[in-house]
Amino acid sequence: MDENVLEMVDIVKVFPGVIANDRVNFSLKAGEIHALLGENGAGKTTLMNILYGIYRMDSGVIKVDGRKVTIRSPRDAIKLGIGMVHQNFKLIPAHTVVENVILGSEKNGFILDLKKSGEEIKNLASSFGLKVDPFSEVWKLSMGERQRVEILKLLYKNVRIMILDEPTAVLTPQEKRELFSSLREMSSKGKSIIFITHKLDEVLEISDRVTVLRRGKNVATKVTKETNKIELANLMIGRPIIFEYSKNPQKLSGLVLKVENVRVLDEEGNVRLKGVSFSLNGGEIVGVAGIAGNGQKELAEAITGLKRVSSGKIFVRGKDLTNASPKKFFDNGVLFIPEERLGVGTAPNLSIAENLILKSYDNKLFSGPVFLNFDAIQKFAEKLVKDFEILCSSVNVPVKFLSGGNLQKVVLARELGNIINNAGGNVIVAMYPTRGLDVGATEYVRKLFLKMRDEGNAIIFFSEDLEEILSISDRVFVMFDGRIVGEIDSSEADVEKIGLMMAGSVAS
Amino acid sequence: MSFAISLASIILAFMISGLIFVFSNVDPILAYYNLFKSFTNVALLSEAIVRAIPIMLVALGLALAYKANFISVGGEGQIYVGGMIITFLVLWNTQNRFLPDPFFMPFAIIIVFLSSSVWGIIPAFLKARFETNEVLTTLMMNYIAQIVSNYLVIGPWKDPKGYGFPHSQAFPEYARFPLIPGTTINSSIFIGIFAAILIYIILAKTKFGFEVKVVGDSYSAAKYAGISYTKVVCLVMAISAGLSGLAGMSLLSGVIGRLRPDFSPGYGYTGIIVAWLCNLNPFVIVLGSIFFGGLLVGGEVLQGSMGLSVGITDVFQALLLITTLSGEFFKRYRLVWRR
Repeated sequence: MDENVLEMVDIVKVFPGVIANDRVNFSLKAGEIHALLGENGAGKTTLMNILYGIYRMDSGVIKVDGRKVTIRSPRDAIKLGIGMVHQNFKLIPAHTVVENVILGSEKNGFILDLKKSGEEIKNLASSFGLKVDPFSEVWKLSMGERQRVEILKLLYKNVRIMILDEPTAVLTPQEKRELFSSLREMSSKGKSIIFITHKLDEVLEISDRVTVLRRGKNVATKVTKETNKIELANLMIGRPIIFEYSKNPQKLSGLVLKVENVRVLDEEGNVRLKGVSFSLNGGEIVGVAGIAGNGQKELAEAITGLKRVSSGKIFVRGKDLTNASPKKFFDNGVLFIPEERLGVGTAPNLSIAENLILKSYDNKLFSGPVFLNFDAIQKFAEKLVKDFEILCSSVNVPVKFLSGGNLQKVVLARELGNIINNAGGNVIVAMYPTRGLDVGATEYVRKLFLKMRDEGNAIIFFSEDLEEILSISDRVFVMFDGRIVGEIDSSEADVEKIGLMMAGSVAS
Repeated sequence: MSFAISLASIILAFMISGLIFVFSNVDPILAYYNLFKSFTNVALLSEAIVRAIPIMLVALGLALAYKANFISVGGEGQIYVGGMIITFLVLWNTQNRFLPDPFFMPFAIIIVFLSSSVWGIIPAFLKARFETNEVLTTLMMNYIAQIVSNYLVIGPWKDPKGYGFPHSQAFPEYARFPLIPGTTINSSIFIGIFAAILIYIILAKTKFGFEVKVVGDSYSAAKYAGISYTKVVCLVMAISAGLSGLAGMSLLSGVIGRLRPDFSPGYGYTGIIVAWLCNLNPFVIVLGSIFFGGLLVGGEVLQGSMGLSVGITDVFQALLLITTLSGEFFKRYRLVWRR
């Protein structure tokens, strides 16, 4: 097991203005699960994209089995036995599992024998403890099952070095456990696994060794058994972080948002939200758990005016805003942090300053009847960049060049930085506010939410990270199949029960 | 680097069309000398500017639409709409004399602009409301406008004293753009320059320009920010079509002096090329239009002096567009040769 199957030596990759990888060294042993830990923008994904042939390194050496190799494309990588499962799965939904798995493989001849391949895949899957029906179409599968298909694709191509990019982000706790046991199975059969993550608990649970990246440099490689959470966190962000959030006692300040029996249809006329009712008070945080695609997006868009409701009512501080425009909701203090930061939350080619005034450009502060007031906009943007600790060379940089964490700070700064109603009573609706963010930025967002709560605002956030939900919310909703199937006080909530509700097994 | 690539693109276009000259048994050097003769000769340069005016007006309007990511190709049809409206006003005024002569042109400019705007809003509204493809609708509307205009000129609006020729009566003096003394350039050039300044100010300084940029960059972000897509694209197309309508008026009142069938030699399409080649920059568009105006004049010189088809100018224009757009790729990416 001490043989290095892979060595990456002094890898350098420079993007305009950023050194993404600065002389990074990384090695992998046969049968090892090696966690690659780091904040967003630390260079984890860049390093792995170099290994998988998506990016070219500027200098450095990659050795596989001690032999120097050149990897020009994912095809080269797969030939060397290196495969990657991306965060966004790359499957064809209308095709079956078999068809997806054999796609791009060179094992098959001109005429396909799907039945035979299916049997092969079934055996392969069961030998690694991956439960999946090879003849089911991919669109029918859950996210966990789709991930198994992605892994099967690699196993089918005889990949022995497997890169998993944040694989647990889309999984329920139960699915995560199954994934981990399959990973152990694979490693016991000699496969090496690189596990990209920023979650410390996962590192400690699954990995044999861990390499920590910080700002493009590798700061340490440790044997997991010989390290601990505090040390890893220190290495990762260069200072200690908080795991327990001290919540101030709750001070409820009256009804802010009331949602009554709201139903939403999609473009094809399917019911996506099947009658949802709840109310939110100032001074509370509600976390909404659920597997993506169970109506969360529709609910968030309905209560921010982005989606028409087909029936039901929405009141903000007693005012009926059912089917009002997004602008009206914003002007009434309903602030929205959308799921897609680039393209929805921000316009990619516009500058930081322009994105910061995206919703308030016609405010008297920033414009007259016709013209924009550039001095005021510039000053405002510079202040927000400072207040929200957005890292950038200037406020005139297009936001598409920002890292995920900084981009989220731009969105937060715009939504929360110029709150219209300073006395509280705003509604903050956030979709997956810390997804893909590093520990530092995550901590920042959570603390900000707690601060907003203490100032008397109501926060409803959707998350797939149950620990996050339990750590900062006062109440927890669980969504399944277009309904809120459970409402639990967070002090009485337990992960196991919520997980089952998310899978639709238990209704409360 | 970026400049070098632009230069290389242009040189490549020259080399390819040079081959065409060679195959047509024409000395390419002499051909190019003739093609660019307008930039060495005051009289020809003034002709180039005359042709540049309608191209400029169309390209400026299109640039605004393209900034909002509304891919209009409707300039040509809007030229014909503008032409029909000005002819209508002239005919109406000759019958009724409802306006004193000095007031006619300012009034006509406003009416032509507004009527063409209405024409331009149609595809914008269809897109905002029913998600129709604007390339198709604007293109189809071009045929409608051109055919209706041709019908009018050989039908109801035919000059009764015109010996059966298919054209309207000549525009009276008060309905013509006066020439700048000593040149053939008519005063509608000032509308073009004013439009360039206007488009620049809209895009760089105004709230509306900000909305245009947001809509153009990301439809979802605009929706999320509460910007009305319908309002923005309708207004953008109103301005865009209004300017193209004025291009039609500038052709009739400035150059031709009456309505004729097929009076625009494709200026609405040349405008598309100019808008993109000039990177949607209003001031560069003014210069680019003059360059293309010069090419058109050069094409005519070639035809006269060397017996080549005037179509050679179109070939050269198209090659220039292709090489420049291909050049964009190399501005964005770097080629690296590796083993």
